Amino acid sequence: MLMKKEIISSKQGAAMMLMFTIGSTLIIGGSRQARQDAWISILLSMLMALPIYLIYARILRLFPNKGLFDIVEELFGKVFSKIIILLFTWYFFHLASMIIRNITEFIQIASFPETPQFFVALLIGILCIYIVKSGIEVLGRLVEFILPIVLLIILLTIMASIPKMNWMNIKPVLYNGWQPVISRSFYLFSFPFAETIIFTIIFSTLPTKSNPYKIYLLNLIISSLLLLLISLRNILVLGNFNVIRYYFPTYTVVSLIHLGEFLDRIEIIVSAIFVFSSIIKTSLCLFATSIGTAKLFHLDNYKPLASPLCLLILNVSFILYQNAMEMFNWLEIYSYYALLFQLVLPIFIWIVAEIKTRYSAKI
Amino acid sequence: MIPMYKNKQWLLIGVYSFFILFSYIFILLISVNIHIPSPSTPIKKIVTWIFHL
Repeated sequence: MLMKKEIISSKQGAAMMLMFTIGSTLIIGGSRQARQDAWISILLSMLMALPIYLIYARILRLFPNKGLFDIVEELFGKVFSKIIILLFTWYFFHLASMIIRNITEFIQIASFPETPQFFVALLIGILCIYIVKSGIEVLGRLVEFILPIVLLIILLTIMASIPKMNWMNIKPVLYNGWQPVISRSFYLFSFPFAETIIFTIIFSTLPTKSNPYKIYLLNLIISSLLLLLISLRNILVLGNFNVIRYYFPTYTVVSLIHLGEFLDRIEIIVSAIFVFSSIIKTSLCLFATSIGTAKLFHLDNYKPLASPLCLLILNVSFILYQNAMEMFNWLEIYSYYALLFQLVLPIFIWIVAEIKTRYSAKI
Repeated sequence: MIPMYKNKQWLLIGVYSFFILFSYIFILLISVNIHIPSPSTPIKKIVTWIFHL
């Protein structure tokens, strides 16, 4: 459904995927419940994500220049494809609402306790609509420009935290056994790694010669490394008891950085990065939701649908949870809920795609 | 809406109006303090039932 003229480079695609993966994970963290063993959880989740990334890339390789919705339409016919597209559209719609709620909760707790969440959400929503209406190419160029700055700030804050680190905080290894480590790695698999199913829709804009395997694997390595570094930093600075006490441990750790008497309160820069990366993530979800809705109604252009859908996303984000505690509790359920969209449906689509392409090749 | 009307994209106008209208009704209900159930609640119930959490 994306218009033909929209093409992003492999580099922009990889940058977008990296920004998407580290997006809201930076704020709410994925592995703090594993305490000092969070680094093992991240490595395990990386291994769990590898086969599913290969499946996503394979789907894209089987149908070059086609998005997931086009592929589903080609494979499953009119009625069944509509059901699958509806399910995926709902998932991206719900995901966008969840991200907006995460970021508004974060802003309210960390910076603006008196400001209504809906007002913050509205500003984010307007920006997302503008990004979607500008097109995927604009987003690609924006992310390509901003990603090095984001990475530099993340690495600088990690380096600035070194004096506060206590290396004894990482011990004892596997004190609580493998169970919490495995459960956390499953959680990290669904949030954020397998959420990259969204790029099977976005990557219809990649040039034909580009290699989806390379992009997916590069993202897996870099994002895992970043999450590993951030998670280790949080544990080493806060300790394994404190790291689970804070809703936003990364923000707390960065607020502790004091370099000499001149560099202080740099958490505001990190907050800006959090907000920015979450806006990118929400915009990508809005892209996917608009494309899915346009597909469902046989519309040629998805862009006009961005504003009404974004308004609806904002409304749903408002009623999603009663408070921040409920939001964090929901994240436990999310891992299981997302399995349908991240694992079951993609594997089903991949198997059908393999059979159909081989069968048609024989004919 | 005006470019859509000029291009006679009636289906697009219909879908657009439906979502906009739905959003405004939603906002109206929220603003008059009418409780709208969260979609997370039924999903949570289904997931808990399936996986015995």
